[in-house]
Amino acid sequence: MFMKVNRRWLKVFLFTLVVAFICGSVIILTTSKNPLTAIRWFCLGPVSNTYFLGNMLSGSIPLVLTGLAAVIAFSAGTFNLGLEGQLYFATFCATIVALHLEGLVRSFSIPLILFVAFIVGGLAAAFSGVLKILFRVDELLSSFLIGQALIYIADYFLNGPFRDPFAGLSASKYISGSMMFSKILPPSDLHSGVFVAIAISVVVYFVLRFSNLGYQIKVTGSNHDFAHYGGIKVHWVWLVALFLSGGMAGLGGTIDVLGVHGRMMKGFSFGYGFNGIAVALIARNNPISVIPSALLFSYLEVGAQVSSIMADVTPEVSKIVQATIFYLITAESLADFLIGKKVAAHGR
Amino acid sequence: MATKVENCVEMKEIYKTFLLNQTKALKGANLCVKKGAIHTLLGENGAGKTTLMRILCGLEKMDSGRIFVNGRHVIIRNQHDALNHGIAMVHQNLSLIEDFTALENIVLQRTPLKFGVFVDLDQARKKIERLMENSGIFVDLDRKVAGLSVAERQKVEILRVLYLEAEILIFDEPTSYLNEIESDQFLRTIRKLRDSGKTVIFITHNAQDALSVSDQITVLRNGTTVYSSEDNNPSLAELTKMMAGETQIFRRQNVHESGKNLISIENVVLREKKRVIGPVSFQIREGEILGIAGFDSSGAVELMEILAGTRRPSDGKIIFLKKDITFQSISERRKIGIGYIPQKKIQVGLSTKLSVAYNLIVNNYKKFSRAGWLNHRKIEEWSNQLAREYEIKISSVWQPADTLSGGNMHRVVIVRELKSKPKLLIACNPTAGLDMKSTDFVHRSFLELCNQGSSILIYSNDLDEILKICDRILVMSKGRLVREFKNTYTLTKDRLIEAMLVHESKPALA
Repeated sequence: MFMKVNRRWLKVFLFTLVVAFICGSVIILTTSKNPLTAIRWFCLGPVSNTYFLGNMLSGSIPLVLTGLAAVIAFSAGTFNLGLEGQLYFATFCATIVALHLEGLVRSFSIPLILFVAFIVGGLAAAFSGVLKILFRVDELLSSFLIGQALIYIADYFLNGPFRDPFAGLSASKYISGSMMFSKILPPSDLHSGVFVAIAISVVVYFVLRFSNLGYQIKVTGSNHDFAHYGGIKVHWVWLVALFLSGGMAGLGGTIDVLGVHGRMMKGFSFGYGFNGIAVALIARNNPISVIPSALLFSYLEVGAQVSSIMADVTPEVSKIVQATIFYLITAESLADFLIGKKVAAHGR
Repeated sequence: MATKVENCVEMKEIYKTFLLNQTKALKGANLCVKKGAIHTLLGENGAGKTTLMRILCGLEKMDSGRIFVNGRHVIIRNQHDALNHGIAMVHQNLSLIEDFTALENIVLQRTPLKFGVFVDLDQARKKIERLMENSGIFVDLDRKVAGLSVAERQKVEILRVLYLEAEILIFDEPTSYLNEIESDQFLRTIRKLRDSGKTVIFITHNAQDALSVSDQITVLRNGTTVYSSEDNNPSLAELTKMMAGETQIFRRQNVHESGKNLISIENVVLREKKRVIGPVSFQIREGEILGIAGFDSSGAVELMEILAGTRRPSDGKIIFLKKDITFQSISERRKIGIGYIPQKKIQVGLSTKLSVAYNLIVNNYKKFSRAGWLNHRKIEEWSNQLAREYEIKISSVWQPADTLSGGNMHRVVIVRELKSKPKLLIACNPTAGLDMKSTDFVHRSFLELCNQGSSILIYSNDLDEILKICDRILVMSKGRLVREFKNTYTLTKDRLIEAMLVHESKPALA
């Protein structure tokens, strides 16, 4: 049964991919003076050489993690709209810790930094869960508002006490190279954090699908009255799910910093959190499908960048194409249409 | 000739297969409804009654077959087509918007407009008042639906359909959730509808209701029409036989007189905004079946929820096996052996999007887990075994619960609670919506559970059910226990109803 669903998802996914690229091409056709070159760079740019390919892959890493973060929260029936803030603040804290860890062995320091990021992000999200349980505050609002506040708090410290005086922008000092993920495909940005991301999505998949916790999350997410009635501690499940969700977001940002930027910069994460929600929706809440949908997002982003460098296209094209994909994939009836037979409304 | 008698609906050789699980719901069903009659469609759960009517309403597509309305061959593609032919289904209180008034709900689908923009409620009100006079069905149009009882909501639904100018009204199991008096009133209501010239199709599994109200009866079994009456009225036994193929009579045998105290409820009080329930005190002995009779407004359902742990009492104590469990959560209560069949079986007792297997293990999934991981093969084996043993019709235990028929969904809930072998089973309307065979099966399982020393507390709208299997009966009225009966064979329904009405102002029997 799960296989069937996956195949169905794949069909829809591939179809929308094609439509999205056609759509992007049409936009380029109407705006570019030299449309053919632009379209070629847009569609094939990211795979035309290892540099762009590496950048595309590395750009998808934080999206995979924020996508997973959203999947976990959605599965439990909670909405974590604060991914962006949790990611930003957790990365900031992890960076500060990293800056104070000199002379530790790599194999110890990297896990420690990631652990800090996970805990900070998790606590930030779990706080919304506490508000939901104690005061019935809607976590959708509280997580978003708290997240936005956290971004400003982190920015204050980045601009003030923790700013690198020699940097031209508000950013922290560079983390020592011994604590960074190693590059895989130089000179591109691709780094060994990609394996961490893949490993985490596999773990999340198995946990959600086969573990007790996964079962509790699914039952709670599908009908929390039923979960409560069945003896599942609904509040606890909400808390754990939000904590894991925030933790994933924290990891996403920190892996990006440890792999690509080497330091925390103001606004480095722009959009990772919200795009993560989009990635999860496109993946239809399946942790494994998160990987292709994050890749797709990153592909479009890099494609637009490349074509704006190589031809006269604005990078915003990628946003329009992303929106198109979004509409197409979330349209349920389109999926039914593509499968060919309409599954009739089941009788009682 | 008899053929000249106006048949307003004729359905011929209807076939229907559900794509999703390849079940053949209808295998050549026939139906012939006379104009201006009350026609009962009788059958067990899963016989295809609802499916046949959903096809007539355009909610479902048939594989093959023909439909005639007023003698003309028609094709019904959707609800709209059906309504154009004057056919409409009266839904079960699910489709009303709680925050709207009765009036707003009635006009929702076809809102009268002033100047093409503004909603003209006055015009609608006049029209509906005329409808109410013609049909003899009255509701307070200005009250919000949230404050209406199930029976009143049903009237709103009827008016809504009448407002849409339907001539043929279809009711799907309308009496399942009504108590005795409300059922009586309802049957009177549909007679009034018939007298005002409408045609009524009435789906039920209750042969008694069918006999008491209908002009014509059609019996469906396993997707085919096995009987349809013109005038010759069959007997109850005949009908039952036709529905099930066999007649079963149930009798309670051993009465548990002595037994240790299992649970004591001491002065339990629930204070809500508008009313107070309690103080209520009673005990249940081991091996006893205790019934509670009362209207939905009597607070009996709330009392059950307090005992099961989904609601906190404002005051009082609950002692289970000499331990105070007043402040224990439902999960702790489940651990010490309290099972619960809730009033809202499908909304609370199931998660319809999850698979049947996942629904079956919610109270004991830890049995299938090792070191935090669930063994899915064992879950599948166990669920398959349950489905076979209790005749839950499924093609795979991994299919979502909402692909099951209503009766099968109920079975999932009941089977799950029975299988956990609770020391105390709390059951709200355990057999509402089930056919006779399934009801009988549930009652037998209850008895078997009791013979193993467990106790059962039942609240039911169906007084026959209570009289049939309970050892002792408590009657609740306006939040208080008013009478206690020992169930001897001389006890009758009238005496129960009389007690139920003690604190109730007598409902107007129009």
